Amino acid sequence: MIELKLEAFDFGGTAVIFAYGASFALVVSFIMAKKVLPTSAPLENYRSIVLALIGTLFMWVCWPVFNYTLYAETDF
Amino acid sequence: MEIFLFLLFAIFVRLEAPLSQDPLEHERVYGLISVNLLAVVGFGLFMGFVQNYHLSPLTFVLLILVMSWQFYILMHSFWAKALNGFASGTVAIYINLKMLIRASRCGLSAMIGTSAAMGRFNPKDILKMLPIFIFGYTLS
Repeated sequence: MIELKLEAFDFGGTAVIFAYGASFALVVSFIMAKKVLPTSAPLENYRSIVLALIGTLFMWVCWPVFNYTLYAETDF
Repeated sequence: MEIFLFLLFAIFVRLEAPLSQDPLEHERVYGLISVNLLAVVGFGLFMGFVQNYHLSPLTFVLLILVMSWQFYILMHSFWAKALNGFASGTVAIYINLKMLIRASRCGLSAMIGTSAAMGRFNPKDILKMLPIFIFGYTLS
């Protein structure tokens, strides 16, 4: 759809990676929401939030490296 | 389950000898290692709240990544043979750099999917969903 409808070039397969991961999580959460309840609610604390922020920033900065390396469509 | 996967790998999977003359192959191999290292560190920090389940975030991320690679290599080859016909080609699965890069893509997608659903489910349920995730990813 990205290449045909939007005429965009999905460099490194990023759209597939994100779109499929996010849609799978959404669908599973929607379907299993009433069937499987979390056994213990994840307790949020300050350290977890700071670590998650650092991890997010780390991946945000490094994602161009991911795209470059995961670009496998060229002729080997 | 891991023993079953090890057996399947021992029976079917073979390492393909490098036949291509890719000038960037050396760079790609080190890039692949770097990407997986970055994924482990990045998602390991991101999933710090897994400590609430008495799990180490780095270990859990590494487990998901490794299981994604294993499932992807087996399922991708299965669907490739199923769609092209089981009679065509050999039974063995030959892995090369291109397949490893695609397995890395699948691993990153699995990390995104599982970390998004982690707030809703506990790690055991996430590990049970992982084969279904890879099944859908290889089909898509």
